Amino acid sequence: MLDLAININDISKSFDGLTALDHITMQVPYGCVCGLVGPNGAGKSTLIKICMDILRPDHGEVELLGENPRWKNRVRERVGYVSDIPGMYPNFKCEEMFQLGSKLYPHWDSERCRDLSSAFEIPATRSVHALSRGMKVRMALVMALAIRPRLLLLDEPTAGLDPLFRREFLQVVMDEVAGNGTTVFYSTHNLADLERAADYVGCLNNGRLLFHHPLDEMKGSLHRVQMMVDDEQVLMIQNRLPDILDAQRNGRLYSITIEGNWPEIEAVLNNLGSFYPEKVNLSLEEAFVSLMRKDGYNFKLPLHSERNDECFKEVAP
Amino acid sequence: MWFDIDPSLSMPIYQQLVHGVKEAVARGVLVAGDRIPTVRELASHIMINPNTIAKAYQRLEQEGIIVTMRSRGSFIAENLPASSREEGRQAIAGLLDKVMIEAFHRGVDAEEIKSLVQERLKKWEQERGSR
Amino acid sequence: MNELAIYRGLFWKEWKDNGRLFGLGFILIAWQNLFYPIFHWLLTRNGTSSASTYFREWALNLRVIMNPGDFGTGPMVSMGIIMAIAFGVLLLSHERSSSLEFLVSTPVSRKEIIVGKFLAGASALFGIMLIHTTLVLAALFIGPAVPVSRLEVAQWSVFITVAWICLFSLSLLVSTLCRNFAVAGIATLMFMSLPGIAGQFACQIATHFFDPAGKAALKIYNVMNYLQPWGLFTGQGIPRKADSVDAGSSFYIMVGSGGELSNVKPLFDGYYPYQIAALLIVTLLFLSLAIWLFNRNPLERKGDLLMFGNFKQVAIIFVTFLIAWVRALDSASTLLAFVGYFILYFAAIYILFILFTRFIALFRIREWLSR
Repeated sequence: MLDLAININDISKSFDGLTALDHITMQVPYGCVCGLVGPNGAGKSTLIKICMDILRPDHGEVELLGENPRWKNRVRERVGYVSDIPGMYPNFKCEEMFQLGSKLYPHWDSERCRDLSSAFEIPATRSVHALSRGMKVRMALVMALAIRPRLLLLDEPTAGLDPLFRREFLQVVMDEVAGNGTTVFYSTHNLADLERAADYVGCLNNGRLLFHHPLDEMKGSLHRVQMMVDDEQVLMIQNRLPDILDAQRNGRLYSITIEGNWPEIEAVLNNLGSFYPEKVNLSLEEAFVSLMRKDGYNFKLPLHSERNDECFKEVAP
Repeated sequence: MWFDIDPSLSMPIYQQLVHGVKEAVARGVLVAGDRIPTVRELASHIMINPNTIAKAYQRLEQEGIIVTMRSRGSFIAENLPASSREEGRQAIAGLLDKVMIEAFHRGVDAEEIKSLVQERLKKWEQERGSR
Repeated sequence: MNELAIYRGLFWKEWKDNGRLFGLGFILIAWQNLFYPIFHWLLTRNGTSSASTYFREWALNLRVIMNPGDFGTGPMVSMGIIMAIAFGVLLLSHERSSSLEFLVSTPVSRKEIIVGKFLAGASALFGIMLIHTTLVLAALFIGPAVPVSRLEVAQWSVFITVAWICLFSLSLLVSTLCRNFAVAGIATLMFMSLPGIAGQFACQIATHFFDPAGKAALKIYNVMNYLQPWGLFTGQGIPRKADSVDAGSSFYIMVGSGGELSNVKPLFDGYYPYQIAALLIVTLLFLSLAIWLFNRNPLERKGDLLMFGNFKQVAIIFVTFLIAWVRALDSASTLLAFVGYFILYFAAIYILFILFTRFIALFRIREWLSR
């Protein structure tokens, strides 16, 4: 297909027998911002590195801007890459790194580079090894934007950086998307940023792609409902609505997270008797937790509140 | 501001933007002929995906609330259309439901609600008149 | 962008990044021949009488460097060998720690990365030798007459440059296999001595089974020894008349030994063109092999010492090989003994290794339990 900026086709990758990616297939159209989320070790970085042809997949193919970067290296002239720990030449000064960029990238925009590096206050004459990690990420971002990219691959660029820089970073990237129609594919742990910036969300867990949807669609299809119930009604609800992702009960208050068409769900709930179903706000974070739980991400911390669950039940009328 | 949005709400962001502009127009914060920021300006200002903003602007334009002129930007339309009557009624009814719940818990009875509504309406009219 | 511009950029980058290393190489390689003529010049200016004697000494030393009959390679050639290996090893492996990921993410192919490194290193070696030779020739022109022919110096310089570049391409090839620079350096030395080891091995087989007199063994030994870099530079392996090789007793693993060597004049004269052509072909072979291997490098191997295979297994096999061989040298029937020893020691070392790792694991569990 021609209108895809990224076409990941059936990618598998294992490290020393451990599966890191398991038959991943996803597509990102031009001009979109696609966020990639998932717990640590889910394979996000591996996927992005495979896209850049830094790592080679065991199976499957990747196409960036319609070309496979493995056979056609020059496609990376238009692909900017920022990793969480940007590797650069430690003995180079910042301006020398930019000089190297201008020598290796044919569409290098030195004016943009100058503007951005002065905006980010990058010390031109300082050596790269003397920079902080935040500054290195800034450098990498400036370089990635100065190549006049049509695609940006960002691998947890803002992880562990201060909120001010996260803000600047998002602003610059959003400006790039709005001004030049650049496609952005980025992995992050920050769901708040993701909610702002992304139109597509992909979620990786244990090397498998749980889902890959437009964000609005996802928000429209996941609901959290609170209602007053007794034991009998809980059973009835569980029988009638098999798509419940997550359910919590606190005395008579029953709260479910459910996937599907809201009017239909509402109709089903209303038919079951009057227990005042009320739709409450479901943030992306909670939605993710529910979806991950459904996928078997069941890490139970020995929290004190768990032990107190029984007390709650006794207190409830 | 009208573009103060909360991405963590279940309501999609573009709908929040559409609502925001509508509310600003209703309150008189934005009046006919006011220029609203371009997609690019707004995207980098509030760090929202430009495609989402474009979608909201498109929706607003379809509804006739804003007019986009090439090379000059988007403006609040001169002749604001009355939104679909039934849709409007439903939205207002939904809001009133919330009022009723709150009133029940705070022990405000029906008569009091009615008088309050009257009072707010009068104040609102005055505010709009003074602009 | 065309390839030329990419190569220009990569070349610029390599020189920028490794300029100091190249400069150090120049000083280490050329100091001797730079220092002497300058000293001489200073002495003549002050009118000291010993100046020309001094110059003569230098010229004779130069002869020894160029025609090493015995063990006299002099610091210059050995330094050149060390620097050629260091260039090849450091150019690639010091990049593996951080910047390689950046370089691979630019629109540069892996082939271009390796070729760029080769061009930078080769040009450095070439430049070092060019400056050095120009200065030596200038000194020979200006200075008093000495029994050193300028043509000889020029020929020798070309030969030694090509030989160094060949060695550099070998170490570049090895560092596509090893992640760590120390391992790459050691592995390069091992690869260098491979012809020698193989030759001595073949020699043993020949003496044991076919040729108890040791005549064929001597030939094989000489050819293989010549293929060792040290042999190449010193000419130790060149066929000579009266040599007796006491097969099976006095072989050394390390290169450049051979205690039984007598004074022989190396047959460099007249053979330069063939040697240079052969070295260039080998260089191209190494380079293309390096490109092929680097293109298949799994870059996720960050903690491993080798880019392919398992370091522990390779190390166990290698150590077993060495121990079995040394043991086999003492016994009468070498080949059979070697095979027997190899199997025996391999089993023993493997079991020991497993026990060792288990022991460490047990230790960790204990530690963990006591927490």
